[in-house]
Amino acid sequence: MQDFMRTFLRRPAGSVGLLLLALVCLLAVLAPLLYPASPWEMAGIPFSRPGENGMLLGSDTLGRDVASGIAHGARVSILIGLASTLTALCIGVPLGCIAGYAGGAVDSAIVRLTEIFQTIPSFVLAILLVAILTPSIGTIILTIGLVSWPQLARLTRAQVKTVSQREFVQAARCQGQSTPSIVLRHVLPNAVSPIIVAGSLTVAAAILIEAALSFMGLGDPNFMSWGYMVGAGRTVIRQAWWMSVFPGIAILLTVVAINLVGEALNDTLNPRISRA
Amino acid sequence: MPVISRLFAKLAGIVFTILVIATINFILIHSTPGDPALVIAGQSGATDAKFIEQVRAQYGLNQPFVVQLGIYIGKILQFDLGYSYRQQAAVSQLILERLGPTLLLTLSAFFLSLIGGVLFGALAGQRQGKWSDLVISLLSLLLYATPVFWLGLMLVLIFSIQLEWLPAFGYASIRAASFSALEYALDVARHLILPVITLAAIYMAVYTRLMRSSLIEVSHEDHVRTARAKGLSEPQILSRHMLRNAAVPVVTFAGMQAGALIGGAVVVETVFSWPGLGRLTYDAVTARDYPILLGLFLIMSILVIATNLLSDFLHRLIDPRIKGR
Amino acid sequence: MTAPLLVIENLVLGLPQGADRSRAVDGISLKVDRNEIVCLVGESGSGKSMTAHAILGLLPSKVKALQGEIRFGGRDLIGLAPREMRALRGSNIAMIFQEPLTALNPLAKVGQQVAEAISIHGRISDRDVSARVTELFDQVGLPDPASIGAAYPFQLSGGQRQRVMIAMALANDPQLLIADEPTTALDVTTQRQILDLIVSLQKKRDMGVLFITHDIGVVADIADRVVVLRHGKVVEQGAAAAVLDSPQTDYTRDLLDAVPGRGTIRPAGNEREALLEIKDLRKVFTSRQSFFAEPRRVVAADGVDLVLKRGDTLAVVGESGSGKSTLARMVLRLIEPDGGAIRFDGAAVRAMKGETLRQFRRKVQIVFQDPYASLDPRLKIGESIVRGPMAFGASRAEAVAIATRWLGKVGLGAHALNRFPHEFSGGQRQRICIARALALDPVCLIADEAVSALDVSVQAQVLKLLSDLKAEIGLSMLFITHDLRVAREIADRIVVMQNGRIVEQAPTAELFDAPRADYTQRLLNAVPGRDFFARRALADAV
Repeated sequence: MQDFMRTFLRRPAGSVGLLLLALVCLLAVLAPLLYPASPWEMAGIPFSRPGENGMLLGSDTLGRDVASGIAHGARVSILIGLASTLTALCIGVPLGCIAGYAGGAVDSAIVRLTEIFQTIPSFVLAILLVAILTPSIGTIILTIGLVSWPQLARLTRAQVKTVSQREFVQAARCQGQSTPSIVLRHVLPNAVSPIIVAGSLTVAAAILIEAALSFMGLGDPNFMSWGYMVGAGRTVIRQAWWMSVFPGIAILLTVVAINLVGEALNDTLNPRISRA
Repeated sequence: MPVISRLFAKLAGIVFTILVIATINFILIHSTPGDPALVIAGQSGATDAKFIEQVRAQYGLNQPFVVQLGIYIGKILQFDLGYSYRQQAAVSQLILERLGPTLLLTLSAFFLSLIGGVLFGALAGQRQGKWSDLVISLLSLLLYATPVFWLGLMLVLIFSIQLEWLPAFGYASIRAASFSALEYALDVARHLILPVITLAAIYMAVYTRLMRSSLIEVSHEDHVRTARAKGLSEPQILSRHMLRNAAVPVVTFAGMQAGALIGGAVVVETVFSWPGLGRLTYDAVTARDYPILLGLFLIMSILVIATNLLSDFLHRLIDPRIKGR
Repeated sequence: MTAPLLVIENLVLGLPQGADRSRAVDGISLKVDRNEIVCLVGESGSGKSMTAHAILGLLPSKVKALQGEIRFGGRDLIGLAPREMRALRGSNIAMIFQEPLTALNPLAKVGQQVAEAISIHGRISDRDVSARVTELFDQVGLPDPASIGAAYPFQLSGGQRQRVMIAMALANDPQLLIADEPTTALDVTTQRQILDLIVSLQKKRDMGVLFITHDIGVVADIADRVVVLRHGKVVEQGAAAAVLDSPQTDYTRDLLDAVPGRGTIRPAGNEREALLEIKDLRKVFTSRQSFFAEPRRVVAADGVDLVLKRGDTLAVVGESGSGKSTLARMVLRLIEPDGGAIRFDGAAVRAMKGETLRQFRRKVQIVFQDPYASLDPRLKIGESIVRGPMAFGASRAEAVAIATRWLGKVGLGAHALNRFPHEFSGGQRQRICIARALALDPVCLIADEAVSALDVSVQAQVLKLLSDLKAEIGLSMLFITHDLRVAREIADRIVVMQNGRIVEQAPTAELFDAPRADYTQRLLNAVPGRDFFARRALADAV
């Protein structure tokens, strides 16, 4: 574990990413302390420029504090990113495991299903789902999970398939170990590191999907979100650039941070593949 | 003979996929808390009772579930995607009108991102560790993490508002009616620049990263050593033995990204008020016009299938191993 | 007396920091004359390939030449300007490699790849290039030389690909050909053809050939002179006949003695009861490359009948694609056969399910070919071994005791229990796999190419271990191998397989003395160094 952290942090990607991510998480945790008032409430004069009227990043068309919105939006982004990735993992990993280890007709059926879901334009499906199920944190998490699982299933299947054909797994079968024990003790631990990496990148993708959904007006109306802020500010971008610029930078930095962490994870966990 | 049977199998696969998507649509209609007739009619608040009854009869909503599914799929196979009560027009008609601009946008972005990604990725991979590699890698890392709608807005802020070089939105100028054909084409092209760059930039970043690592991987392969042992110079090895090999996985991946590309187009069209399917989606979302949304989903899925076929074809062009197998 | 073609003097190649040693090659000197074949022989890690790559400046970027000279045509090749080095590569000095599949560009037609080698050096006009390619393909014995150039590498067999590589190397009539293990990845009969081809081309063209190999049998067949390497140093060099017939160093002698298949053949066992009976076993693999491609059919077993008697060792010998490994896996039901019967101790194996199958597998254990893939890299050795006995109800303490005992028996101490697989060499890992298999107290052991990935000296040790253990605990063994020499060393009876069929089965002595099938005959003739070792055995016997 110590070795792992040392290799991980030795890469600039790892340390920079982790630092950025820690800052975003800190912001999310401290949001209620920094800005105790609801981010939806008017905090000052509308269209205040950054720094004016005591608002660091300015105010929006209704006089809401942009900085407060960004702090509270961090909570939503992180929550949705993690929860929907978890949902996707819960669907994709078991399906991929079953397909990869069982093979045969079960495998082909799951592969076919995954292929169809990969064909479907996932963002459009997400729009449709959220619109029909009515937007809320719950439906958004479910929806992003539902459109993100196919890649994880595909990767898990490929990994499980290669690992389970390796001789040490066959040896374990010959040793008389039970199937669940083989899958849980031998196959998954050896197949898991690319899945962890893909999972971390899925968090980043989920945050982007959430932002795009709320930009399209499909966010949860009870929670302030970065995508919503950009969407609300875009009509007045000629007069007030800050309303859409700052929330966008927040999204950008968060996603960069997660991608950097994912990349460093990849380099640490799969050193052979990423040798360059 | 095998060619024909393969083609047939492929077609069967496509039809099957379309049926599955239609079924998803059907399930969605029935998964709303309220009356499915309201969804099909595209109404939630004020209702036109007569129209709802008509829908109920048309879609057999009083009959068993399986029959309903059969009727629904039957209608889709006849290209009847329903009727938008709000817009007072057939959904298929509305979609067909908007298809052209979307195709123009997505196809331009597809090729621009693929060509740019392969070029920049090759450049970075070849100069691994040098400053040009660092710049390209850093830029692609940032672009890859940029929300596409925000990138579009920033480009508008810089190139339309600050520099006033390019139009900020729309498909053509208001005065376009008086233009000659050439002037009109140039006008559309000017309007196309920002949306295409926005949409292409994100994917270009993805392909650049992929091409870079693919090229580095190919450079370790045995046949590159063979080429060196033949006496080829490094630029010759790059152009004759590495570029094409490294581009194969990029093209395959680009084909798989078709769905995401169309999703991106929805957002980009919203930002730039580009009158295509994406803009139609945004309007339908705002108005909760479900028949249009369901129809759009189906048509966009078919577009993705078509793009997959195209990339399959490209893949065949550059990788002879597929034909031989 | 003309000057030698190639002279390597006191060459030292440095490895990057963190490697297991600081020098890959440590002061090697050798020379190659015109019209001779010099074999550079050594086990893995001897630095033989590095030396070959250094000549053409093809070393990995982290390996640096620290000292010494490589002289060719009066020039020192170390530190030669890139442009001048490129002019030499593929024209005066050509090279062929081990893996004919990966050494060719998979996306270019083979004819083009050879044509490129010609036109790059511009010796003949572009119009004549394609005629020259056809001529070369003809010389290396490719079928239909005029049209095979339009094929892609994946459409050719391994032997044909290596012929293409040779044609490419000969394209500009090189004075020196460097061959880096060019037959190691090939089947034995194909290896024989390629060796014959290289020798005949060398004679015709008066070329100097530097031939890198690990197989001393190959050396005996083709070498004029031989250089024996170990740990980056020259152990012994001289005329092939002298070195092989009267080796001056212990290492060379050990290398020669380690070659399997020279000892006396074990007498075939007297009639004993059958332990494992296979009747009319059938298996066809159909693979679909994609949804719309034609499925490919590969016949792995076509009416296989064989009997393993209790206490015997039965070797199944065949080239790649003969179905021998599939056979081993079908016995254990790791792959399900399509038809036929397998009986073990009278019980029908194919009808077994659940607990019966588990108990059967306990009695029949397997050791696989690849010592690197056979152990779970994330588990300590002890853990890998104890899970078997524990799956059959032993307590952890009992299982650890069993594991310790077997690790001792295979020549590794109890300290191995708490180490990870990557801390062991290939041979040690194979010992661990044997311990893991035997810890379950099996009646029968299946060895699937269990010694094929090992260096010859290690191979000899593992073979000895297996036959000692077998004698000690009365195991029966099904021994799968591609190497007739190994089979001769260990088996009581031999089964020869080709394309999923058994072409011959006989007691070992009978098979070697009077092979009946043509294919067996061909396999025997293809064994490298056969004549030499036969002579040597005779000399020893006297």
